Amino acid sequence: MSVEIVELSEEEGDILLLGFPGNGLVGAISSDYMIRQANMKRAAKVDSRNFPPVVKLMDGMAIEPINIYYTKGIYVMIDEVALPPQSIAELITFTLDWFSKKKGKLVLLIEGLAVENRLEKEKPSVYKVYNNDKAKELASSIEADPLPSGYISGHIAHFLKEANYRGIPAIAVLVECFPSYPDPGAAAAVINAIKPLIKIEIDTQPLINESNAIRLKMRELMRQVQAAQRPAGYIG
Amino acid sequence: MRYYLPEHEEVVEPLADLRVMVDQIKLSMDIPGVEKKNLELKVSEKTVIVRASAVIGKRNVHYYRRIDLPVEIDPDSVKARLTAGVLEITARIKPRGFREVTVE
Repeated sequence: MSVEIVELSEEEGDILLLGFPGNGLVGAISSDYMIRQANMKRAAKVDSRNFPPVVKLMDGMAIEPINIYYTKGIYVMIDEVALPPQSIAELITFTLDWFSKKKGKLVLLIEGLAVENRLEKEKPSVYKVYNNDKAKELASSIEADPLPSGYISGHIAHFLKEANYRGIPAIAVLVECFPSYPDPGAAAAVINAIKPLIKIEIDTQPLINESNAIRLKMRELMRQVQAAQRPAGYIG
Repeated sequence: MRYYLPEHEEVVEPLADLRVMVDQIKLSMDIPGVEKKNLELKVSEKTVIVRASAVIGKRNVHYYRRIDLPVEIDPDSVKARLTAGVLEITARIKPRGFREVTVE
């Protein structure tokens, strides 16, 4: 199985941010919002013959549902299709290969951490996990606590290990979210946490304001994600 | 299931999450934008029906979901709470009574 990344521009980024539709769709919602707010440009398209037959429509044009956008030294990968765990692992592996060849400096993964008492938390907690000392140093500007001892499974663990094999500093930023519903509030919290690191000014208030519309729009993707994969988890 | 309604009108099936525990069920439903006054909840021993409506942007959204429960509940024990567009329902599972039968 191979994943193809076709570059559409000659921009070079130091930081790559990955957002997959996992728990609470936090990765997908936050990536989509940052791309829109920062007016990022499409820098690469990503596809594989083994991915589900889904295309995204843009003004009548069918494009790949997985794309990489760029602005000011930052790449953001957005995945708008529910992939099975094996495909996510392959996508991470090939993307890290691509980023490694470009001599990227840091890769971030945004993911939701499903908690039962999310409704009781107006401001969900954000946590960080890093794969080496350089990543730990870079993560100091992220407004999040290190995740306490425990185990991480699934694509988050795969991401941290694969980045380590390639010597790329990697940080997983995890935010508490609804176990079964799209969570724009959690996406806003994680964007605010990483803002000091990525140094892009993004106002998250509109994301909160359009929260109901996003929850409504994303429910079908949430259903597909629940059917396609067992979201990655943390056992503390 | 999608129904066809006039422009700006939409019926959607909300996401739901059902957990069956030893002595109770916990059911939650994502109904963004809904206020208590626009929510109708009906329960029987085996079924939960939710009807609700909300205005989101320029769209009138009607939610409808019927859930057939895998266990029987006591309808009098049902408690429901709506917080930020998430409906949470808890109910006691009806204890299964055994009756001794005399064999003739």
